[in-house]
Amino acid sequence: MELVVHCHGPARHAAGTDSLTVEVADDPTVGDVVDALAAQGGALAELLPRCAVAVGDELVPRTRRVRPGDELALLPPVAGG
Amino acid sequence: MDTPRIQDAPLSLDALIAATARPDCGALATFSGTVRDHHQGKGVTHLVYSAHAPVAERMIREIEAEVRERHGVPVCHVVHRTGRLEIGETAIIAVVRSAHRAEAFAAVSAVVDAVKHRVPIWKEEHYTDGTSAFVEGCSIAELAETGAPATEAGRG
Repeated sequence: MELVVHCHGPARHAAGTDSLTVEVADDPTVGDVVDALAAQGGALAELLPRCAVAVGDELVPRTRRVRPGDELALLPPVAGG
Repeated sequence: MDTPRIQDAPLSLDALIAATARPDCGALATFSGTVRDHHQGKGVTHLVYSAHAPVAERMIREIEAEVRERHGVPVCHVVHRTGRLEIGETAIIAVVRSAHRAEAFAAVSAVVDAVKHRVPIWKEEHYTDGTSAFVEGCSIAELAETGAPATEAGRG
Protein backbone atom coordinates (compact mmCIF):
# COMPACT_ATOMS: atom_id res chain seq x y z
CA MET A 1 0.00 0.00 0.00
CA GLU A 2 0.96 3.63 -0.50
CA LEU A 3 1.12 6.08 2.41
CA VAL A 4 1.66 9.80 2.73
CA VAL A 5 4.13 11.02 5.34
CA HIS A 6 4.29 14.73 6.20
CA CYS A 7 7.65 16.22 7.16
CA HIS A 8 8.08 19.01 9.71
CA GLY A 9 10.87 21.36 10.76
CA PRO A 10 14.35 19.95 10.07
CA ALA A 11 12.78 16.77 8.59
CA ARG A 12 11.31 18.92 5.83
CA HIS A 13 14.80 20.24 5.13
CA ALA A 14 16.31 16.76 5.21
CA ALA A 15 13.64 15.31 2.91
CA GLY A 16 13.68 18.34 0.62
CA THR A 17 9.87 18.29 0.52
CA ASP A 18 6.75 18.77 2.70
CA SER A 19 5.41 15.28 2.15
CA LEU A 20 6.64 11.94 0.91
CA THR A 21 4.83 8.95 -0.52
CA VAL A 22 6.13 5.61 0.64
CA GLU A 23 5.31 2.09 -0.52
CA VAL A 24 4.90 -0.50 2.25
CA ALA A 25 3.41 -4.00 2.61
CA ASP A 26 -0.26 -4.14 3.63
CA ASP A 27 -1.22 -3.72 7.30
CA PRO A 28 2.07 -2.05 8.31
CA THR A 29 3.08 -0.70 11.69
CA VAL A 30 4.38 2.84 12.14
CA GLY A 31 7.83 1.25 12.52
CA ASP A 32 7.48 -0.44 9.11
CA VAL A 33 6.79 2.94 7.52
CA VAL A 34 9.80 4.49 9.27
CA ASP A 35 11.95 1.56 8.11
CA ALA A 36 10.77 2.04 4.52
CA LEU A 37 11.75 5.72 4.72
CA ALA A 38 15.12 4.80 6.24
CA ALA A 39 15.77 2.40 3.35
CA GLN A 40 15.61 5.38 0.98
CA GLY A 41 18.76 6.71 2.69
CA GLY A 42 19.88 10.32 2.62
CA ALA A 43 19.75 13.01 5.28
CA LEU A 44 16.23 12.02 6.39
CA ALA A 45 17.34 8.45 7.17
CA GLU A 46 19.89 9.82 9.64
CA LEU A 47 17.28 11.92 11.38
CA LEU A 48 14.60 9.19 11.64
CA PRO A 49 15.79 7.52 14.88
CA ARG A 50 15.27 10.87 16.66
CA CYS A 51 11.85 11.55 15.07
CA ALA A 52 8.53 10.95 16.80
CA VAL A 53 5.58 10.04 14.60
CA ALA A 54 2.15 11.64 14.94
CA VAL A 55 -1.23 10.66 13.55
CA GLY A 56 -3.86 13.36 13.94
CA ASP A 57 -3.20 15.13 17.26
CA GLU A 58 -1.46 12.18 18.93
CA LEU A 59 2.07 10.86 19.13
CA VAL A 60 2.05 7.17 18.23
CA PRO A 61 4.54 4.39 19.08
CA ARG A 62 6.41 2.51 16.37
CA THR A 63 4.36 -0.63 17.20
CA ARG A 64 1.00 0.97 16.31
CA ARG A 65 -0.81 -0.42 13.27
CA VAL A 66 -1.38 2.09 10.51
CA ARG A 67 -5.09 2.30 9.66
CA PRO A 68 -6.48 3.07 6.22
CA GLY A 69 -6.56 6.81 5.69
CA ASP A 70 -3.96 7.58 8.39
CA GLU A 71 -1.57 10.34 7.46
CA LEU A 72 1.69 10.15 9.37
CA ALA A 73 3.73 13.16 10.41
CA LEU A 74 7.45 13.06 11.20
CA LEU A 75 8.34 15.22 14.21
CA PRO A 76 12.12 15.74 14.53
CA PRO A 77 13.76 17.06 17.75
CA VAL A 78 11.81 20.06 19.02
CA ALA A 79 13.10 23.53 19.91
CA GLY A 80 10.35 25.93 20.88
CA GLY A 81 10.71 28.99 23.08
CA MET B 1 -9.56 30.09 28.58
CA ASP B 2 -9.81 27.97 25.50
CA THR B 3 -7.99 30.17 23.03
CA PRO B 4 -5.35 28.86 20.60
CA ARG B 5 -1.96 28.07 22.16
CA ILE B 6 -0.23 28.30 18.78
CA GLN B 7 -0.77 31.49 16.80
CA ASP B 8 0.63 33.34 13.82
CA ALA B 9 -0.38 36.80 15.04
CA PRO B 10 1.76 38.84 17.49
CA LEU B 11 1.35 37.78 21.14
CA SER B 12 -0.05 40.09 23.80
CA LEU B 13 1.10 39.53 27.37
CA ASP B 14 -1.17 42.37 28.53
CA ALA B 15 -4.23 40.66 27.02
CA LEU B 16 -3.36 37.34 28.64
CA ILE B 17 -2.80 39.02 32.03
CA ALA B 18 -6.17 40.78 31.74
CA ALA B 19 -7.96 37.59 30.71
CA THR B 20 -6.62 35.54 33.62
CA ALA B 21 -7.19 37.92 36.57
CA ARG B 22 -8.74 36.31 39.68
CA PRO B 23 -9.44 37.61 43.18
CA ASP B 24 -8.02 34.53 44.96
CA CYS B 25 -4.52 34.94 43.46
CA GLY B 26 -2.02 37.32 45.04
CA ALA B 27 0.88 36.32 42.79
CA LEU B 28 1.34 36.80 39.07
CA ALA B 29 4.47 35.40 37.41
CA THR B 30 5.01 35.88 33.70
CA PHE B 31 7.64 34.93 31.14
CA SER B 32 8.21 36.38 27.68
CA GLY B 33 10.73 34.88 25.32
CA THR B 34 11.86 37.40 22.72
CA VAL B 35 14.00 36.97 19.63
CA ARG B 36 17.63 37.95 20.28
CA ASP B 37 20.18 39.01 17.69
CA HIS B 38 22.84 36.37 18.34
CA HIS B 39 23.25 32.63 18.85
CA GLN B 40 26.53 30.85 19.64
CA GLY B 41 28.59 33.74 18.34
CA LYS B 42 26.66 34.26 15.10
CA GLY B 43 24.58 37.31 14.28
CA VAL B 44 20.87 36.51 13.84
CA THR B 45 18.61 38.56 11.55
CA HIS B 46 15.28 36.79 12.21
CA LEU B 47 13.72 33.46 13.17
CA VAL B 48 11.10 31.30 11.52
CA TYR B 49 9.05 29.12 13.88
CA SER B 50 6.87 26.26 12.70
CA ALA B 51 4.75 23.77 14.63
CA HIS B 52 2.71 20.62 14.25
CA ALA B 53 -0.36 22.51 15.42
CA PRO B 54 -2.74 19.63 16.30
CA VAL B 55 -0.21 17.89 18.57
CA ALA B 56 1.21 21.18 19.90
CA GLU B 57 -2.22 22.52 20.88
CA ARG B 58 -3.08 19.32 22.75
CA MET B 59 0.33 18.99 24.43
CA ILE B 60 0.51 22.59 25.65
CA ARG B 61 -2.91 22.15 27.30
CA GLU B 62 -1.74 18.90 28.90
CA ILE B 63 1.47 20.52 30.17
CA GLU B 64 -0.49 23.45 31.63
CA ALA B 65 -2.79 21.01 33.46
CA GLU B 66 0.20 19.00 34.69
CA VAL B 67 1.90 22.13 36.05
CA ARG B 68 -1.31 23.42 37.68
CA GLU B 69 -1.68 20.08 39.45
CA ARG B 70 1.99 19.59 40.44
CA HIS B 71 2.58 23.14 41.63
CA GLY B 72 -0.89 23.81 42.99
CA VAL B 73 -1.43 26.92 40.86
CA PRO B 74 -4.95 27.76 39.62
CA VAL B 75 -3.80 29.56 36.45
CA CYS B 76 -1.12 28.41 34.02
CA HIS B 77 -1.35 29.46 30.39
CA VAL B 78 1.16 29.42 27.52
CA VAL B 79 0.93 30.76 23.97
CA HIS B 80 3.62 30.22 21.32
CA ARG B 81 3.93 32.10 18.07
CA THR B 82 4.76 30.69 14.63
CA GLY B 83 5.93 32.26 11.38
CA ARG B 84 8.66 34.81 10.77
CA LEU B 85 9.72 36.82 13.84
CA GLU B 86 12.03 39.82 13.79
CA ILE B 87 14.56 40.69 16.51
CA GLY B 88 12.74 41.77 19.68
CA GLU B 89 9.44 40.12 18.80
CA THR B 90 7.86 37.77 21.33
CA ALA B 91 7.95 34.04 20.55
CA ILE B 92 6.39 32.66 23.75
CA ILE B 93 4.44 33.99 26.71
CA ALA B 94 3.54 32.19 29.92
CA VAL B 95 1.28 33.42 32.70
CA VAL B 96 0.91 31.80 36.12
CA ARG B 97 -1.31 33.04 38.92
CA SER B 98 -1.36 31.58 42.39
CA ALA B 99 -2.17 32.50 45.96
CA HIS B 100 1.49 33.10 46.87
CA ARG B 101 4.70 33.86 44.97
CA ALA B 102 6.88 30.79 45.56
CA GLU B 103 4.70 28.38 43.59
CA ALA B 104 4.13 30.97 40.85
CA PHE B 105 7.89 31.37 40.24
CA ALA B 106 8.43 27.60 40.23
CA ALA B 107 5.46 26.91 37.96
CA VAL B 108 6.30 29.53 35.33
CA SER B 109 9.82 28.15 35.04
CA ALA B 110 8.57 24.54 34.85
CA VAL B 111 5.94 25.21 32.21
CA VAL B 112 8.36 27.05 29.91
CA ASP B 113 10.94 24.24 30.25
CA ALA B 114 8.34 21.58 29.47
CA VAL B 115 7.01 23.41 26.41
CA LYS B 116 10.55 23.91 25.06
CA HIS B 117 11.49 20.25 25.61
CA ARG B 118 8.33 18.42 24.56
CA VAL B 119 6.09 20.38 22.20
CA PRO B 120 6.56 19.95 18.43
CA ILE B 121 7.76 23.45 17.57
CA TRP B 122 10.86 24.15 15.47
CA LYS B 123 13.06 27.20 15.23
CA GLU B 124 15.04 28.08 12.12
CA GLU B 125 17.62 30.79 12.66
CA HIS B 126 18.61 33.09 9.82
CA TYR B 127 22.08 34.60 10.20
CA THR B 128 23.66 37.86 9.14
CA ASP B 129 25.93 35.93 6.71
CA GLY B 130 22.87 34.80 4.73
CA THR B 131 22.86 31.19 5.97
CA SER B 132 20.23 29.52 8.14
CA ALA B 133 19.96 26.49 10.42
CA PHE B 134 17.44 24.73 12.62
CA VAL B 135 18.30 24.95 16.31
CA GLU B 136 19.33 21.54 17.73
CA GLY B 137 16.39 20.31 19.73
CA CYS B 138 15.17 17.61 22.10
CA SER B 139 14.05 14.32 20.59
CA ILE B 140 10.47 13.36 21.52
CA ALA B 141 10.76 9.91 19.91
CA GLU B 142 10.96 8.29 23.37
CA LEU B 143 7.89 10.22 24.49
CA ALA B 144 5.93 8.71 21.57
CA GLU B 145 6.96 5.20 22.66
CA THR B 146 6.33 5.42 26.38
CA GLY B 147 4.08 8.40 26.91
CA ALA B 148 6.73 9.60 29.37
CA PRO B 149 8.91 12.59 28.57
CA ALA B 150 12.51 11.35 28.45
CA THR B 151 13.81 14.92 28.62
CA GLU B 152 12.12 15.41 32.00
CA ALA B 153 13.69 12.31 33.59
CA GLY B 154 15.27 13.11 36.91
CA ARG B 155 13.95 16.64 36.94
CA GLY B 156 11.34 15.81 39.60
